[in-house]
Amino acid sequence: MRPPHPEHWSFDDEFDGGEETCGRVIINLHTYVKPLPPGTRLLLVSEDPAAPVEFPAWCRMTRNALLETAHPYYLIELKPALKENPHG
Amino acid sequence: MADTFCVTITHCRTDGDKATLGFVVANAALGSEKDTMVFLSTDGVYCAVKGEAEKIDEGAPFAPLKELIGKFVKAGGKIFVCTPCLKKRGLSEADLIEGATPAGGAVLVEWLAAGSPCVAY
Repeated sequence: MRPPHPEHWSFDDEFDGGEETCGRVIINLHTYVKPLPPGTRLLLVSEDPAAPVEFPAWCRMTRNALLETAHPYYLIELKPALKENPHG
Repeated sequence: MADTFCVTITHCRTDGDKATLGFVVANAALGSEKDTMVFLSTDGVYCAVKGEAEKIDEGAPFAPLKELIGKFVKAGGKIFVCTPCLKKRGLSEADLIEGATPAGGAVLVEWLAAGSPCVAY
C-alpha cells in the first residue's frame, strides 16, 4: 500500500504512472497532459525508482513547474508561462 | 538546449534488445517535447517492415516493440528508413509500416548538422 500524498497538496488532475519506467512512462505522461490547459495542477504518481531524477529533468525540458516532490508523488503545474494573463 | 533529438537504430532481427531500447529512448525524447527522428539503417530497417516488430518482445519491464513504435508514431515521431539498406534486403517502400519514410543520408546529415544531438543503438 502506498502512503497518502501530502495532505496540503491541491490539484486538478491526476496521472498514475505506476511502476513503468523510462520512455514508457514519459510518453504516456506526455500524451496524457497534452490536452490539459496551462496552469493545470497535476498530481503525478510514479513508483519508478528513477522518478526523483527523471521528472525534474522532464519538467525542465518541457517548462512545466515541479512545485513539490514526495516520492512517489510529484506536484506539477503545467506550463505556468502560458497561463492567460487577465490584465493582457 | 536543442529542441530536436535523433536516435539511430542499427538492429532489429540481430538484437531486439537494442531495437527496443532505441524506441524507448525515442519515446522519452518525444515525450519531453523534442522534435524526434528515428533513423533506421542496416538491420534496423526491419523495425519498420510490416510484420517484423511483432516478433520482438523483450518482456517486462519493456513493452513489445510494436507497441513502442505505435506510440512513437501516434505522438508525432518521425521514422526514416535507409533506402539502400532496404534495397540490399530486397525490400521497398511498400513493405514499410505507416509512419515510416524511406530516406537517405542527406536527411540524417541535415538533421544532425542543424544541431540535433544523437544517440545510437
